[in-house]
Amino acid sequence: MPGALFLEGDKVNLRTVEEEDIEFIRDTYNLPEVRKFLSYRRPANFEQEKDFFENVVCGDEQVNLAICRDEEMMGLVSLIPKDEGVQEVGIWINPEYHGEGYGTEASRLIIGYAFRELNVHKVTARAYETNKPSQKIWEKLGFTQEGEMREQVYTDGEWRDTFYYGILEEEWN
Amino acid sequence: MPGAVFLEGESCKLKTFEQEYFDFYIDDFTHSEVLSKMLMNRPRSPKNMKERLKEEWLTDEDNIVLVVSHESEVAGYLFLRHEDKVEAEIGVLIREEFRRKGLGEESVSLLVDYAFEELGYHRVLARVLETNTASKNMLENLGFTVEGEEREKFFTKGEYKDITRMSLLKDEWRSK
Repeated sequence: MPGALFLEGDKVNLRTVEEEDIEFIRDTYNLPEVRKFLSYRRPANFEQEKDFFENVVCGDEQVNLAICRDEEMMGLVSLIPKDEGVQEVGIWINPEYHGEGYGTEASRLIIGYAFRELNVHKVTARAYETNKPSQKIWEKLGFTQEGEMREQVYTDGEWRDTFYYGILEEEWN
Repeated sequence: MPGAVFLEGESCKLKTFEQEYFDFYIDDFTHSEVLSKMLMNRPRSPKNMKERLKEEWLTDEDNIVLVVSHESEVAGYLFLRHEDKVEAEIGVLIREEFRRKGLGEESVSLLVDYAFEELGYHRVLARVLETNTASKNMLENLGFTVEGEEREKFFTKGEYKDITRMSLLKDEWRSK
């Protein structure tokens, strides 16, 4: 049974993450082309993803939503509290569904929700220098690139820069 | 078959280690022949092993274990133990009926590449019983160099044996 509909867009909708989604999360998270853009790059088995579900998804701190086309899960989008009034948005989508603008719409939905309902002042995002699709999302949505942390992460055989992005409440429409 | 595909080669897939594999694993790690190859001496009770597996492999982020899967069957296990930020130690066990197909070499090569390119280690270490020529040859094929012996370090079949230490550096791997 798919999760409850939480936010509705044109191409995608965001639903609550349910226990049935753990396997999809595990299978996608372990793909080399997905994990190379994420900070945790070790194998994660079902038990560990179940832990993530029970402690993080079901916890009070973050908002994690399933990115779905109709009722089919394609990825995960999250809001992670950073400082007071500041939250970071994070996203991954199974490569099968890349290139369709799903990531941009899912991010737009969750960021709108953050400003509208959570009274957040600023939303931030991060992308490795090699992750062009992610950088494009933040640029399209009107984020400003605020910084470039030099050689901040080892991925794909080299030390890479991490780009930091931010958007303020009054800049979001 | 459970387990998410983590690394993929031509004839094998390396999958995440799941609870469904426990019984297989425990069975395999009870044979004395296997144990001595893996530089272990004593079998553990299945109950004890299950507890340890849960603690050591399912939640520990320093130790990686992957299942070598060949044509959807469990062909063996791969290990990567974090020593420090410079070095990780690799270990492999291919189950009896899956040997001599090159699965060991292919799976070790996938994991070595992962250790260097994704995790950023500088060197990979392997420790092999001196009498285990099959493993030594396989590692040499991959570019590992013998760097020393741990003299009479392991007791098996009534006598002390050396453990051969072999290592591979990132640059050596990349220029191969």
